Amino acid sequence: MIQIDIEADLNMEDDDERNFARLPAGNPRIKVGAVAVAGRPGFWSWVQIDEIDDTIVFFHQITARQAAAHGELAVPATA
Amino acid sequence: MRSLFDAYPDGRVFDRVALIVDSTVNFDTFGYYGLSLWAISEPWTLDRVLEQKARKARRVALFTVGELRSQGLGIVLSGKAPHVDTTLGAAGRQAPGPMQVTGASAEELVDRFLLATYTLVENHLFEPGPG
Repeated sequence: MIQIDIEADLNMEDDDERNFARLPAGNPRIKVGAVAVAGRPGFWSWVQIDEIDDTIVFFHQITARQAAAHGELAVPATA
Repeated sequence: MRSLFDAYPDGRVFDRVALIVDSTVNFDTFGYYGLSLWAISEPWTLDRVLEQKARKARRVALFTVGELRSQGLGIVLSGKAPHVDTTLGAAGRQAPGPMQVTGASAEELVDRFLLATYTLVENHLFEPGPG
């Protein structure tokens, strides 16, 4: 089972075509510029975090290659 | 069209609680309860949406606008095409002024959405694996 950092509906997009979701509590990995896994177990993606406000985190999807290039991945279990 | 999370343990296509959460996140961000959909039309053909917006989803659900409307749901433009939201009535991000929202709106939206008939489609452009 994949470890999801950001529980998200990846159908949701804002005006800048970014996905967004409720900001998870207590996860120090969730910061602007960081790479994380967002979605739900059957539909998820590597993402890069663009913006965080009080309750919502905005991010865009990236490929596994782009995620790996970031170099700070805590690799989840297989999907 | 809505990309599906196909990991619910009993084979359900939609999870009511998850949909309520999703519509509430929309409320927290934009001020109205909505569920995200992808609108199929030229130039956003089904294959283009499957490839560019749903490539990580194994299956999608196709709804007609007429079916959603028959359940009392509206379609509002939101974000950039092909993204739209389905809402109760005519609420939307472009609506000026304060919005009247009741405490039961998320539940009512989701319950009406779950009554809508849809067609399940395998995403032949699905990209398995990470990223």
